[in-house]
Amino acid sequence: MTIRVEDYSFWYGGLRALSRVNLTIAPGEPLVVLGPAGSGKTTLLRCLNRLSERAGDTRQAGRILLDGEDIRDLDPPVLRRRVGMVFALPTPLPLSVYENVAYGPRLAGIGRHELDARVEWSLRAAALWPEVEGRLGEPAGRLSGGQQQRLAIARALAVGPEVLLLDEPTAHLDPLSARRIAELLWDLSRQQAVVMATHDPRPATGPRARVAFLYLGRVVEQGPAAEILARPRDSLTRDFLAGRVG
Amino acid sequence: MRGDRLAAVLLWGAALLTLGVLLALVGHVLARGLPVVDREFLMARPSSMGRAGGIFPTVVGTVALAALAVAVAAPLGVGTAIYLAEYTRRGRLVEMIRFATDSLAGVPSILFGLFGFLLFVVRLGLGWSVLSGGLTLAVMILPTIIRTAEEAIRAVPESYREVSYALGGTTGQTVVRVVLPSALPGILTGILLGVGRSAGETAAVIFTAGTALRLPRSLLDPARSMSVHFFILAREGISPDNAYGTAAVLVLAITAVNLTAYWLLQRFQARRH
Amino acid sequence: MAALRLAALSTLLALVLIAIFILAEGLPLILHEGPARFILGRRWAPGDGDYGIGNLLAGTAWVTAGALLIGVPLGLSIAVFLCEVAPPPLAPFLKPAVELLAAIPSVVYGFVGLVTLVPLIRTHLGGPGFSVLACSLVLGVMILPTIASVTYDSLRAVPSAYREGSLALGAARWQTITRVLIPAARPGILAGIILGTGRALGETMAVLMVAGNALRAPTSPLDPVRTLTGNIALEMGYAAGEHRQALFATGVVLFLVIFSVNVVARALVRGPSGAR
Repeated sequence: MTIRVEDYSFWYGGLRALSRVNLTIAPGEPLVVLGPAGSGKTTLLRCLNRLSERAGDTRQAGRILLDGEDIRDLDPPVLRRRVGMVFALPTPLPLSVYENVAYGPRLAGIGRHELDARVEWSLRAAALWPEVEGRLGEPAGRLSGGQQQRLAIARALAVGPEVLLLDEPTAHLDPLSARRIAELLWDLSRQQAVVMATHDPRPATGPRARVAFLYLGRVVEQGPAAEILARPRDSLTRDFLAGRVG
Repeated sequence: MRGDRLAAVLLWGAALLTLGVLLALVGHVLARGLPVVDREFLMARPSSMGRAGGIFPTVVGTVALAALAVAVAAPLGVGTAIYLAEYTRRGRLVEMIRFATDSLAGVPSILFGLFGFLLFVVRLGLGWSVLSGGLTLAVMILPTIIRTAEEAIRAVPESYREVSYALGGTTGQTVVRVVLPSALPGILTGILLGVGRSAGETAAVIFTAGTALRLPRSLLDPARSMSVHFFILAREGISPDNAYGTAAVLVLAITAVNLTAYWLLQRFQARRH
Repeated sequence: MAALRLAALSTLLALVLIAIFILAEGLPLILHEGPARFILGRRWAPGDGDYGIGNLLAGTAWVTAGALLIGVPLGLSIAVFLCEVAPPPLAPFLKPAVELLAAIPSVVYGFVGLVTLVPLIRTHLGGPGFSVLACSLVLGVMILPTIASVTYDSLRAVPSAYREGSLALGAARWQTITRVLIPAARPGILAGIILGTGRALGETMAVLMVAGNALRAPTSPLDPVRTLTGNIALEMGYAAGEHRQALFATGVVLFLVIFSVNVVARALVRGPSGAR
């Protein structure tokens, strides 16, 4: 699985949110989209699964290719099963823990006999299984914030996506839960293509990660995390990392 | 500050007056009507035009008319609400639908009666019947159901939809599995309000369902609703006791339905905040 | 999706059908009589083939004006009371009570008015008791919930910063209500009054039972009165031929009046900018 973003621009009405973005997302190389608030990180992620089109009055130019196929040629539900997403706010649906995880598989028509195993596998992958094993029937809203976010990850994994998009997945969590999620993600990224948007460079220091620094809708620079974070070439990146813009 | 005191007195006066009117109204009807109401009154057939006996056929008529009205109006109304809230953004058609819904809400019930008479009773040849009356009522309560359902659907958090779409849900799946279950209490409120309005309606029903006092046995039989029965008993001075009894049953039923609707809505709104 | 669009067209279809059917049945007679003669004519005598609804229009105007005189101040007061004054333990009872007032069937209003107000007016104020006054009192209470709930919603929609700003400047609560809140909520309040007017114009059964239904135009609040709606309901049962057409023609006039009232209310609620 490879995603290639080619010369891609995106507008909300007259507002240009992304400007000629070029990126490659390859398996085994988790991508961290780094940038201050309003830099277009969320928009970029939402363009990758075409959730951005729900806003109405939008326009785009350039292409996004999933394994060589333009994602505009794919049916959105099919695309979104292949490109999963976790939002900044942990958003449990008003259902039980089990039904939250089973939601996607059910939509995809996964049969009942397969469902239990799928739910357990996903919850284990999101490192949540030991905590919820005995409370699968409880409303998901009763879980703690960190648990809810891991539930959201399990829910996205349950569909079996080829790539997982995470939009500031730790932004609304306490530091301890945030660190757990970050560690989980680096673990996950061994088997799973992962794209994470964040304004915080600290969790981006995974050894295999690539970083793309986004500013005002443009990719300022990209490269291996170790390189960009230690020796940024662009002065904007340098200023951002030093906390001077944001 | 003297103005404040005077204003407070006036406002309190208005509030207490309104409460007083409601209590007096309901109290009067129940005080005179409840003594007449027993199992016999509800379950027996009337005799000599309602002068004696019970009101059983009119209870059946009311239930049948309201049930048919809701059975037709609920799917149409909820469907309209889903279409307006989930499938369309702005547009000419949406504007026209909203305009029609608002206008329909303002049409007085007697005009629904005239319309139902011309279309269902005469043109479609359904005669004075449960079917004609129920369809007329369905048109009448449609705006109420649409408005409450649309409000309830719009109140469902956008994040629920996003999650469902992000997991590969189609619009249809998202509506059925996430939006409608969350909006259900609000939708039920609208439907209950429609039931209440149908049960209390007279002018729209009297020209479409007729006034026959027989027990309706099919959709094509004429039916007399409780409110029509009450109107006829009261206006023609046939039997004040039975009129009050009928009114008491009607008021109790409508109060119960409306308070349930109100309670549902409160719970729904409380959950949202 | 196609099914939903079809459902969504149902209200449009219903409105168009109502207009077509009532116009088709009523308009020929209006044109035949001449609109001016039909609307301004003061003699309604189906037996003689005279169809003038002037007195009925006058009756409807009297009754509606009377209902507004009672319903508007009460409705506004209730809304302000609920929004600004009501102590917390009372508000949760008053609001459903007002809504219940809207749910009570109109025949019940009419009947209770008939057995209480009519004799009261007859013995204490004179006249037959069946009167404009009785209609106005009954209708005033019936339209109160409409006015109160629309006003309540628009008062609630006034940003609380206005309220706090005014109070912070040292304005008394009453001044805040009359100088800040009510002006800010004015479009909604007007819309509520107009919707209430529409309800009063169209109400049938309650009015019918306390109006006396005399065909003369009233000259005092104690005179009996017949309204457009009452006329339709009274005579539909036995009317045939031209007479029935004349009743539908009355319906046409009623429909047009109420339709325009609603269009005005709608324009007011949305405001000149078109925003809701």
